[in-house]
Amino acid sequence: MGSAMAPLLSRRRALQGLVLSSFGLAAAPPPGTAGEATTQGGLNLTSPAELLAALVRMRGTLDETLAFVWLRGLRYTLVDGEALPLCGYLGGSITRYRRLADDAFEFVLYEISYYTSIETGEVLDKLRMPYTGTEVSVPLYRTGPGRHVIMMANQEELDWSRDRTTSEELAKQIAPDAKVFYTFNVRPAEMFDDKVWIRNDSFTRLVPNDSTQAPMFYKEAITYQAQRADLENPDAPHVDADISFAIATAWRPWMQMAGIDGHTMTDGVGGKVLDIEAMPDDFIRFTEKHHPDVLDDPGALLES
Amino acid sequence: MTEQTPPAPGQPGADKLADDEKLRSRRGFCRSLLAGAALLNSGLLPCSVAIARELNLQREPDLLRALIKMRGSLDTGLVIGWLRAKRFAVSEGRVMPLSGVLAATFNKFRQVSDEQFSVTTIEITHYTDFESGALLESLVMPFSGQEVEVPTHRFGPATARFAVDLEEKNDFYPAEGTTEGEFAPAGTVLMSKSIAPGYVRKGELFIRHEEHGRVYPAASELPTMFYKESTIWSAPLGVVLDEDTRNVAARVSYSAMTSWRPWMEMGERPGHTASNGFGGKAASLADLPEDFLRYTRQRAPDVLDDPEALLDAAEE
Repeated sequence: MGSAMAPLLSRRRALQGLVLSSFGLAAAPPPGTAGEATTQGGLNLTSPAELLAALVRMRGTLDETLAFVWLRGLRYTLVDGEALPLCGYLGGSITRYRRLADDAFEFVLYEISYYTSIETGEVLDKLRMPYTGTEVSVPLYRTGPGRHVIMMANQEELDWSRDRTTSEELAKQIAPDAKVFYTFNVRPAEMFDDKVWIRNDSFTRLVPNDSTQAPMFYKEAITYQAQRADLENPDAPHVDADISFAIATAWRPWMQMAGIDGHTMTDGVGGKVLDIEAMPDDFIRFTEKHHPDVLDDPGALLES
Repeated sequence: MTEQTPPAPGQPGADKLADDEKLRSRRGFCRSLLAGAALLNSGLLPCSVAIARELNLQREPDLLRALIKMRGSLDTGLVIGWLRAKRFAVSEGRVMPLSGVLAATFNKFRQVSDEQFSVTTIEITHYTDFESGALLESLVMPFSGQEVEVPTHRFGPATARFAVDLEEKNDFYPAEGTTEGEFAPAGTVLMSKSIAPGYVRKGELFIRHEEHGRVYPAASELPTMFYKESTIWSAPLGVVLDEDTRNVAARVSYSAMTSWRPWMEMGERPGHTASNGFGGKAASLADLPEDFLRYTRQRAPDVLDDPEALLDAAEE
């Protein structure tokens, strides 16, 4: 989600991720509190296949229909132990999942993110960065479609090229051409008080082809919470889910913070809907203004 | 919620106080959040709920009461909260799994004024194996490769305050016979706390509480430390607004970053830890996660015997 590097994965690389499963990564059973994750309602989250399916039902749907996820948070800078609010964050994604195997789903992802004023909540076009005092232009973030694979565990290495995105200018501001190292893990389910939590962590390290440029990183943890009873219904292709997230990321080029030892962090909450019109009002309003085609036919974007 | 360093009485260690600029930054931190219409921006927060017997979240005292209902209680009875998270080590753009975090707090809240509540709290935090969830005795630290002993974090009883915008400066001395010194050295603690305006989505109210603390050790050779925590509490809006409710079942999303703790023996290695997870209130001890109860029986059984008595003794 957000400005993750994960959307940059190409289909070729996604399939390469599948190859990794033959080395046992994807087949790894969920460790940890596995014994506590079995319910009397027929839900066995100690099974990697069921755990993965449950996660997809929380993140999207099993029946290949569209799902929309929103995230709302606050972004900070962290420099020398000092945390300063930078901006609001409002992200939206369009996804469609398809089962490839018991231990793997493919999904197509399109993302739109807005960086907003803490004071007004409106989309920022300029922002004065702390520590440097530089006023920078804030880009609109829009990327996709990206085709990805979700497994219990995945490690990939790929090339990121700015000409693979919808906008070369945007790509230049988000990240330079680079080698990308990406890991993804689904954690064991936690079950408590009639609720189920499943967490996935991803970490991306980007090493620019231009060795004079600093490496970048992106760390994302997203936790999905659903009602156990909903997941115990085997006929439900999707379930309502609440989301919490935490992201840490290196300075982006558009922030012009080179030479400042620090990074940004973002945390917040979110949710999933099955109709883009049910996304938060401000996301709809911003998208009508900046990306009206997204609202016209979001499904078409995934086929583009 | 975990590993915060609430004020405690002790001797001053003020030789490394923050300079004026940092204090200004801290105030700005709170103000910008308070000005933050960002979380209000979809216009969903009821602006006209100033009806009798309902809170008006546009008013700071009511916003505070709403948070206290979710995080604690308007009454002085025992309030128990729990938290489950994962912690990572972050250093120079690399992130490594560190441990699980399993915590609970035992609290008694008291209203001081319309603008302020105080809480007497005991906090127990267990560090667990990142994968298996087993209680850690020792841990090989990422980046340093150093094997270190892992203490249980037991803090309190100690008193802290809640307000919509709060700046605190206190002296901290680890209590003798405790592990507190493994988490922060003696020194001066500057703490900023703030409550951001609420956000409502599908009848659920979300309120963000921020804490940002800096520790300036009395021993000048020690580095300063920081702790930054965001908790986002959520509960049904109608239940929170109802003036008759005093204590609301609520959930919490948790995200924190903190300096290396002394027990991690990371010296001057650049970096910090990052944790995030979830939790909520427990109606009783029996409603806490089973693994928390099991580990606490091993490490701090007296807390489970009668936490309210421990809190009452501290308040006397």
